[in-house]
Amino acid sequence: MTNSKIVNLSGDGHDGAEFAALVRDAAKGDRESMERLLIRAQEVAYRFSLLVCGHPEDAEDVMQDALLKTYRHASRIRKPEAFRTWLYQTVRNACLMKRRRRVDEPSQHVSLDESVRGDGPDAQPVEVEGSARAADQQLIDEWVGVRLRKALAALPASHRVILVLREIEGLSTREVATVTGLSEANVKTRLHRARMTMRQQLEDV
Amino acid sequence: MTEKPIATCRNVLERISAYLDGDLPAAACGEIERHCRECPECAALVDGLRRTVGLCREVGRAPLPASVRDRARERVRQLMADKDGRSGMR
Repeated sequence: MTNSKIVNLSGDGHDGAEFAALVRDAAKGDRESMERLLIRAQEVAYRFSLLVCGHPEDAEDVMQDALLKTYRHASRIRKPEAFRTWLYQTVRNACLMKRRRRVDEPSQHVSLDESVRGDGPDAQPVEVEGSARAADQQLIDEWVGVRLRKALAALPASHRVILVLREIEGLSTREVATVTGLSEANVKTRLHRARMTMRQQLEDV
Repeated sequence: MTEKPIATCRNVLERISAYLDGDLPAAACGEIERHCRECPECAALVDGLRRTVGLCREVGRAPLPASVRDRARERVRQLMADKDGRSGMR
């Protein structure tokens, strides 16, 4: 083994603390903090829309939704430490609502936690079809990388949401459990399986 | 006679995520590390998984495309301008 020392890969809560500080200052009327908070909220919405839900055309609407809800919520929040999980829950719900409204999808609710294989029509994250979307696809590939995008696409939706929240967004296991409504034990199990699948996909990287 | 690895390959596979997350006690980490010194397959698995997690984390740290950030800033500018306008009308 080349590196026998433990590397603690757990989320360090840094972003959570930064969000909480921005919320506190924004609630006190600090304009710059509010502006930074609103930009960060949109960034979260963009990444989640693309990496978990896979509809770039929805991302703009989800960003707008995150912007307005954060603006209204930030001045009223009682626990700034809980803002980050509130934001991810809000973004997740916005993505679900967009999916429900899409005319080309079944009218019934399609859960992001549903165990759908990545090759299903609703489960391809950041797969953009059609020549009009080619620019979006290129944008995403430059940002995420083709290999990682395809590896994410190979995950079941129920595992992808966990991996994105935990590894890419850096939420703690407890925060992921709060956002998804799963137990921490369930989050750990899904994360382990998602990591193993990702490793297989990225084996020669 | 060489020291028998305490952890089996199956033990490592089951606990590898907990190991990487720092969720295991020191004794359990020691078992895995001793096993990996004698088992190249498990050592490769641990290193591969660590690299995979690292790649994912890089995406989280990478700045979003400039056009996306520009649109986000523009929305904030418009929202704050609307708010200022409403405040000024009172």
